[in-house]
Amino acid sequence: MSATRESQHYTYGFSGVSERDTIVFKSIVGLLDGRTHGLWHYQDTGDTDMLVLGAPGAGKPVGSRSAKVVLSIGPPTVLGTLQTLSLHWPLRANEVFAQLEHVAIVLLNDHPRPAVSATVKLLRWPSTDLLRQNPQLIRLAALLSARPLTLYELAERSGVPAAQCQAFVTALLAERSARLDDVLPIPITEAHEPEAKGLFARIRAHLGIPATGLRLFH
Amino acid sequence: MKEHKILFTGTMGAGKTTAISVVSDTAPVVTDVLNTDPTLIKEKTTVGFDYGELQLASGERLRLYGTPGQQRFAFMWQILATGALGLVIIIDNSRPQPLTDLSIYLENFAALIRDTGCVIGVGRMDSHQQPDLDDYARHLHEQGIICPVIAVDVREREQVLMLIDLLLMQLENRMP
Repeated sequence: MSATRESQHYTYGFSGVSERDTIVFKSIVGLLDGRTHGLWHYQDTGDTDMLVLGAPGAGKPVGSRSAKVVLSIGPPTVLGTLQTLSLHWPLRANEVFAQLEHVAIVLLNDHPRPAVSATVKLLRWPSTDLLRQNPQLIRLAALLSARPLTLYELAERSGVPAAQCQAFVTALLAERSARLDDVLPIPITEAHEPEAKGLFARIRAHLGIPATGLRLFH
Repeated sequence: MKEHKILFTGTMGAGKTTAISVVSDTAPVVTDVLNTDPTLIKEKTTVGFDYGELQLASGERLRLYGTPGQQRFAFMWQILATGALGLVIIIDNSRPQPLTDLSIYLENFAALIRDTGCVIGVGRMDSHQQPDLDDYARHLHEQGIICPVIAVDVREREQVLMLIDLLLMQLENRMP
């Protein structure tokens, strides 16, 4: 199941995925062949680089397969202490594409253990070329400047679609403004007790600043 | 009644007073005096602090303080910084060494930046494009600081709100 930096060939398999979604996923991967950074090959049995998990009850789970990265269909799943990457159902090609790109980067970074818990850590404020592509990206970067977040958290806290967050993170990694880390403890300082959350919401409401999205600044 | 504060700092003439005035509920209190600095084309400058406020629906008050710009008033900076929610730094890109200006504030407000949040607004970039925002980002990186840095025209309320929005996003994101 190894994927070398040179070849960038990766394997994937399914567990608990419905037959229909298996076909859809494979066909999307086939359609994307040559467009993604990694080359993805389906593997029926054994360990793989990526394991696609179906929603509970969607299909028959496949025994004890392990993988470096787990991609779940439906809401993010928690496996032990690890949070998986996820895809919405029904499957959409653009989201599958974004996740394949993200997973390939995770694998390329040689994470020593399953990278499903990867958080995005901003290393520096991103380039103007990147940020000017979309005004929402400044807000995503501002969120990441405070502390590392998983993609799921970034999408949740920003109100920006996961696929767009994914694309942004991929671009950050490409320009080396960010890196992927394992989950870190959340730093909480005295100045940010939970009760402050309500205060910030009240300040936003008073000034007419939306909590999510960027309606005001469009 | 609970009171909170956000601090605006930056070089003399950068527009701290203006930034506060465009978002304050009340006419800002300013402690300007006639400018005696011949290097600055400005009739008046702030020697104490600027003050504006927001009366929140909960009865709380958010105070907006603008620090005096000149470094000789640095003792005031620490007083004003105590207990602040976060920091907005406004830099005038038309000055001779704006990155050096920025360093002064990063250094003097290091604890506040570390413990809360910070956003940097760079003014007059339309007439003075250099250093550009990437230069600022690089400068921050060299100082080990990651915070939003955007171009801003503090006369535009929406742009000042953008600064506050980015600051709040950082503060919110430090919470679980």
